Amino acid sequence: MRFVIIRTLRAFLTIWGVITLTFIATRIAGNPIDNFAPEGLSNEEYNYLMEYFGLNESYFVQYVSYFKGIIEGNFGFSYFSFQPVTEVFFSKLPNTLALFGYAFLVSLIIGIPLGIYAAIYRNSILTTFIMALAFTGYAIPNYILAIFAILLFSFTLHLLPTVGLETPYHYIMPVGCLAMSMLAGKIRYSRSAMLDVLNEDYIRTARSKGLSERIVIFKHAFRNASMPIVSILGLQIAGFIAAVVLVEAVFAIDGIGNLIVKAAIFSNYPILQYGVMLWGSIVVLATLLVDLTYALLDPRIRVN
Amino acid sequence: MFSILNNSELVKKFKKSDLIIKGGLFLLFFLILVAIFAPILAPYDPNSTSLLARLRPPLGFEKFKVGFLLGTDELGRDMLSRLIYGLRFTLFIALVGSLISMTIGTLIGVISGYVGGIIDNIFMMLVDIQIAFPGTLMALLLISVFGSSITILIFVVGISGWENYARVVRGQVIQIKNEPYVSAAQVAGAKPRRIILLHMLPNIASPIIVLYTFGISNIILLESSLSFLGLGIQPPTATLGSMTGLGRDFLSSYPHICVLPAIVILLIALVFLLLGDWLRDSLDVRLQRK
Repeated sequence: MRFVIIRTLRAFLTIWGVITLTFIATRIAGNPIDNFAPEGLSNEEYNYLMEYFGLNESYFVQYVSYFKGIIEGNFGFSYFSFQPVTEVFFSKLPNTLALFGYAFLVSLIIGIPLGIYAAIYRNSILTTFIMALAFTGYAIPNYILAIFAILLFSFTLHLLPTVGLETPYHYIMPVGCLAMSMLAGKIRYSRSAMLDVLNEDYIRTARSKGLSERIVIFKHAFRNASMPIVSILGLQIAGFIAAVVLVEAVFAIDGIGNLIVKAAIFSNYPILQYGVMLWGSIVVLATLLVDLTYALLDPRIRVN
Repeated sequence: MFSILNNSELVKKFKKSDLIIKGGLFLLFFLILVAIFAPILAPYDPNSTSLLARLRPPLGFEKFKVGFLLGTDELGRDMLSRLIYGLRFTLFIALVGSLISMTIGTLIGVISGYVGGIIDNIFMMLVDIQIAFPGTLMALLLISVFGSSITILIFVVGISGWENYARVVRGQVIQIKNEPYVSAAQVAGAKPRRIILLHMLPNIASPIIVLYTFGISNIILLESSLSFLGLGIQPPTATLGSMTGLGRDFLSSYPHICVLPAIVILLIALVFLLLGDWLRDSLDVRLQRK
């Protein structure tokens, strides 16, 4: 119990740290209004904007009210559209979620069986091919992959559209590029998790009992390997904001990634702050969940 | 600390390594030489435009113009020269940025592991925060706040990735803190600074060097993706990422403008990855995977 409390407290302290650092970062360079206000803004309008976004208060007051807002579920307003940032985010979320969800699913369905295969048949030719695929997915940045894909499938073969997400065909390339970079990790992790398990004594015992290889692999080995695989998947989800940002940029998809990049270009801090906070919280909570599940299953961790 | 670099064991292992590694390391050496001697090698000024020789394809294609081996871009700038200078720029940022994150991370890791207690807790808290703060998002935020210049870009890529060094170095320091040679130095009255610099760092140099190599590869990708998004160094300065990003508009009719820098990014990130992989295996370093 003590472990759970300390671990949870630490997680919330981390989220607080992320929020505070973003706040400091966005205030350190001076008044955000100066960055985007058009030339020839009258004093009156300027003051109105300052007041509207609460920027005329001292930093401390701003910080406190920002925190109050977060607790109440008010995350501030976009400097441009004056909409609440949550509204802006949720309007873009479906595209990103669809893209990400499909890519995750595709990489899961392809990656894990390939990883398991590579662990079982360590010296087959197909395994060499699978590991080469994993290395390629890991080494080629997905925006470069996307460019090559567009060049091949759109401009040379004229098979697929290049921008947007209107029809199912539009999904093929962005989902494929995103899946490719996720695939690498899945193949490597499921392979190494399976390899670890296959060396255990109980696998030898199961084999010596005369069980069929299929039962040994799927009932004994895979069940035991699935725990580390699942935990890695949880952490992997958290790490993919960069990939999403780039894929959305290449295929001009109107999602969270493009929203954040535009916010960065136009200094729309409330959007950026919310994005960073959201993503940071997802990472922290995913890690927390993994840690707690492990502690639940493995008493040794609780003691240390 | 550098004894590890002219280690004869490493040379022996290199001679035994397979063709991919050998080829990769030679390519790396070649690319670094090209970057160093860019002013001598580049046939033209990378920013000089020529309206009469716009959008020429590389050698072997129709409308190739003699003198522009890899063709020209939309303003008639020589692609080869821009690639050479872009490579120089990218490598410079990656090497310096990696150096910054290595210094910060190693310092924090050593202090955290050696001193322990509340300082350790605070530093590990910072590591947790940094992990929760994906490099790309942090870079976008900082560039948005401070604007994009070379200094900011180096700083931004430099502070991403320090947490890897901090974690690994801290773990190593804790591991060797109770080794006899460290205790002996302490008993002999050596100051912590001397113990850390002379006794501990040389013994944990291998993982740091391996992380540094991987760090370079990561920073190349981070920098080029930022430039690709238009948030890196502003035009007309040639960087591989911005060349790829701006060249995207010409992908359908003049793909070489976009594809050539993309290939160079790919190659350079790949050879550092290969080097890191090889060093990790040869120096027998075990790193926690992220």
